[in-house]
Amino acid sequence: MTALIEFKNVSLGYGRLRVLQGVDLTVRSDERLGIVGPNGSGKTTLLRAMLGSLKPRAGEILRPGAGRGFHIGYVPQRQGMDELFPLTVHEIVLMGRYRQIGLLRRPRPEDRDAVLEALETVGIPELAGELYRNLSGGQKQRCLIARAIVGDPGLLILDEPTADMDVAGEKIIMDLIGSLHVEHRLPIVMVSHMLNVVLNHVDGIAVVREGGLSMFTTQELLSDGVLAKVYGVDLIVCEVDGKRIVMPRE
Amino acid sequence: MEIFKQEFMLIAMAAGGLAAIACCYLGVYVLLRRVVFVGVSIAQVSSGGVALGILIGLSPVLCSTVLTTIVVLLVAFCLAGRRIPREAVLGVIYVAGAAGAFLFLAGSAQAEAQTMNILFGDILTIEKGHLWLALGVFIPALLIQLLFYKEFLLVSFDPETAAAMGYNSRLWDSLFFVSLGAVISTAIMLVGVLVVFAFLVVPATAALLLANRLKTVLVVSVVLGLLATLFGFYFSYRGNLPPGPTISAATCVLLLLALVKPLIARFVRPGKV
Repeated sequence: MTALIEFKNVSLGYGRLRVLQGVDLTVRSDERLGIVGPNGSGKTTLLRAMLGSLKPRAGEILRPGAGRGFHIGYVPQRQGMDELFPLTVHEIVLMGRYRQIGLLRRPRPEDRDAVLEALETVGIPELAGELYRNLSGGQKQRCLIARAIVGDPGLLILDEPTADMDVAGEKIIMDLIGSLHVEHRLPIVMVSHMLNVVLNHVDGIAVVREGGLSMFTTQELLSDGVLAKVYGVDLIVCEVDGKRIVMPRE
Repeated sequence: MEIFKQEFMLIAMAAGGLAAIACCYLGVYVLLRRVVFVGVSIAQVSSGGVALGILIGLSPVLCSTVLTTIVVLLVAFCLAGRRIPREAVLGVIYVAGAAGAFLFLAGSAQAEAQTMNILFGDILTIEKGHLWLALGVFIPALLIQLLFYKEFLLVSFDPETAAAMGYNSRLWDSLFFVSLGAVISTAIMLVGVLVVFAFLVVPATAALLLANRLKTVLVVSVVLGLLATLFGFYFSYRGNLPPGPTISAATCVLLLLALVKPLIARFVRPGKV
């Protein structure tokens, strides 16, 4: 399958602060990739580099499989959204079409149709006219996912998609992300500090820690000794109803 | 009414109305971006620029605009700083602007009168030429805001996603703050620091309490600014009061009414609010 984004020996940082070094990473067009690591390890820095908003200090970031019109749909952490803005769900999702609409132009009927279609895909078409700040956490997340997919992206990147959600909300969002991958053939990159959130929903996992990045398939990461080496504590993997859960050994 | 028969009053009201339209529109973004102190600091620097112009005998408008633009660009590029909090930069700018204004005026022969003019404006002595100058600044500033409504909205609401979508957030921020700086420094010439700050903050606050859609909030904010100008002039004329403080007080009265509105609604329709 085509490589969409390739990091070749990339170093990232801000000013004099080095965050990540020697990063080699490939995101493929058929992939669901999870990026995990503790808070402050550099996940967001890696994500910014993927999005193109942070230039590498060394190495190369290539987009070999990204043809003309390729762009990334991005779902930021919803806690970062300022709810002071009196914006409706429709207005927020429409933002995802601004590139297509272009400068000095008003939204066209096809842009409004695309917004409704995206809201139907994420399952909240009835909330189009509601104020964003009045939604529940799960509805807000679906609104932000709709904004990310409304422009027909070639890759979807989500930052902490289930942060501060209860178990039911987490399942709904992860099922939605899964269906976007399967039914819409959308490659997915998910960033989370919770390994258990992404473990059962990705093909490969990139672990960010100690200024570097290690790539694993989920099988490799869960094999004997690897988890303990990566996290530095003794961990066990339990399986319940076919789902794997990682927890500390008592 | 007699107030509308006097030419100087009509010119003053037109100036107040123009300042209200420009400041109250931008004030909504100032509030939503949570940069109210940016507005205060820019206004203070602008008054420092006017004072500098008076001291060295150059055009106060020119001095104020140049100084404000420099500071505005500094603000736009320091807002994303990691080592210095934004509030600290704004605090320094405020102190420098205020100290500069008073020190520059201390060297001027008519210091006391000029200080009052800068703080409260000398709106009744405005000439027609000032109105053309105001139109020359306010129309392009508002046109930029209206033409790039989408872009300003996205960059203000979610700069991270805007950057991910390929928008240069710093460029748009700079454009926003330069427009804001130009509007503030011109409005100060017309109505003074106090009224400009009142227009930037109070009608937008009331509008956010009264309306639930951004476009409506923008319209309501401008309408409230115009109403405050009208009432301010009327009561200033009737009560022989200074117009600047009266207009500022009128904005606060309108805000109080906006605050009382939900209470009235609860009283009129018990159980529905």
